[in-house]
Amino acid sequence: MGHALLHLLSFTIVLALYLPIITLIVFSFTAARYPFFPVKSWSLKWYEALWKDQQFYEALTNSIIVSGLASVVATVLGFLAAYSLTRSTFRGRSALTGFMVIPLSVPLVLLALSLRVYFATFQVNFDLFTVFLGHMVYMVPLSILILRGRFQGFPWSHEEAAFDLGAGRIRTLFEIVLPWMMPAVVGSILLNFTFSFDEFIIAWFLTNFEITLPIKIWTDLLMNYDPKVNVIGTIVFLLSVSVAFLAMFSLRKGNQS
Amino acid sequence: MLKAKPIELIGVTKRFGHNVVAVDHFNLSIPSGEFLTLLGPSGCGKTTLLRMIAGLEQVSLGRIMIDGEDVTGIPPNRRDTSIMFQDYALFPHKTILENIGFGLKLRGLTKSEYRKRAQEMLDFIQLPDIGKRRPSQLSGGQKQRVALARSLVIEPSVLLLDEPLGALDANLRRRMQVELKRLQRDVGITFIYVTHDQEEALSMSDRIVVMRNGQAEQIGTPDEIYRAPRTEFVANFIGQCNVLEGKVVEISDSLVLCTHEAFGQLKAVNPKGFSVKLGSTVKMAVRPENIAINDGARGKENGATVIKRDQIFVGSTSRCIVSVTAGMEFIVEGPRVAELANTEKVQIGWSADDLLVLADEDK
Repeated sequence: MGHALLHLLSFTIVLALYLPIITLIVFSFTAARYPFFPVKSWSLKWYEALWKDQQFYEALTNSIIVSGLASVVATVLGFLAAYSLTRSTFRGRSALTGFMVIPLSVPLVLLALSLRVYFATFQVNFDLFTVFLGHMVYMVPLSILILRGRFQGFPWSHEEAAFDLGAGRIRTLFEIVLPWMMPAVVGSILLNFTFSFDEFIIAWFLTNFEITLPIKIWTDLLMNYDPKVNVIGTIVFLLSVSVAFLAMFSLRKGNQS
Repeated sequence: MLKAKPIELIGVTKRFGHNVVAVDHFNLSIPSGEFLTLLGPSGCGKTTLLRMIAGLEQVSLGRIMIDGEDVTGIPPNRRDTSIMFQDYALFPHKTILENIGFGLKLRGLTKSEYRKRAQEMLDFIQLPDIGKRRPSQLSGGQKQRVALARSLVIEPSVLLLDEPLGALDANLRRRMQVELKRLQRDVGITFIYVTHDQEEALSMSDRIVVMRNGQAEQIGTPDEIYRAPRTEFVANFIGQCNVLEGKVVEISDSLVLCTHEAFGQLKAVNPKGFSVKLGSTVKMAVRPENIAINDGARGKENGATVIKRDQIFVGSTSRCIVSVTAGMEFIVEGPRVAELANTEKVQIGWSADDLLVLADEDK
């Protein structure tokens, strides 16, 4: 009896969490101009409309460029930082670690605002590159945290054994350290990608004309309600979920081995 | 047979930070082909010393010479040494063949060449069929041999072993001791072996260095160290010892006469010639197996009547604890101690040759 109640409760909570998204997916298939229940007729016409929307393609391409580049670069930088923060012991190591991950705890809107002011001071053009830089501020710390966890489990004797057998630092990095770190590296790239791909506030503050997908959605909603938004939402949701699943799978597989 | 090379450690010192001295002005010369053991409790600096010889730890002060050549500043990948870790450090994502061949690959051998040599090595360690497996698929004993093969295949002149048997069960450990010793004789290279297990040290080494606080407490063959421990620390670390403290009343040649509150007069030998002054207190040690009981104790220079307290069964022989006075206990070992009843009065005795004067620990 208690068991059944628990199941019911869990089910209700999960349903409550996913109901908005399910609603969005359902509405993306309606024929009506405005989303209302009950749905009277089904249609793929908003998908077709999106298919023809040139702005959508531009925004999608921009988003993929920024997210793809930022997630890889942030992971490389995070890898190097996490490597030295776990491998070496020096005074103030934990203080430095804390200092480097602080941006994660700053509200995004503050981060975005301060970056806007900062770039404006130096008269930097606001375009995709500034969005990329802005995302890096958040993503490098994220990478450090993800990669540091796996580095802490790295048996350093493996590195020393490689040195001892005649390998140099670079060789050891690529042949011994990187294979061990691979699950976390893949996980870091994918998680960072989903963050950057969905991120709105930083992108909104740091670009003028080269817009990313979340900004495109926002402006579509702002000007006048456009049912294509439901379609974009559905696509982005499915994409993000599959990437996040891949990331989790990669991280978990790594922890098991 | 590989080419063995002698090693010279000159004033080798390792400091961590400002206060911690892990190894303190350590001097030792190790002839080529020797099986040398660094023995000591954890924190005595034995592993740090080994890692400095491997080049994995920087030397704070002093020099390390291999075959007359100063290698102090040379990084581990260009040293003629090979180290074997306690956790074996086999690379998990490489196959066994790739693990063993890794060092050869780095030395420029082609894939077919190093695979051939690695396979020969697998035959040598009598595990010819595991080449395609990964380390996670091996047992502890197999991993241990693979790690050994990986270290030996690059033909080092010195093999450094950091408690390599620590992770094995007692039975396998004893077998591997014999195997390692035999292997060392076969390949003929210098082995420097770190352990905290005195039994391992005694059974395998040509020479043992007992380490304490970063310094050598005593250096000698297993036999010397067991029979003539220099200090109380060594006496208790290698086997068990009864240590007594007496006041010196007479010195004649190597014989020292002392008074002791429980044993009355004690006659001890001072074969190493430690400085002993009349009227000063001196520490002496006697091994439990050198103490005779009842009839056997008659006519011995040292002895007393004691009361039997507890029995410890150790298999081949028996050991018991006797109380000499209220606060003082002694360990006696021998085949006949098992026959004694608890709280029985026993006469114990041992000869002057078995009571050794120990060095003053402060020096």
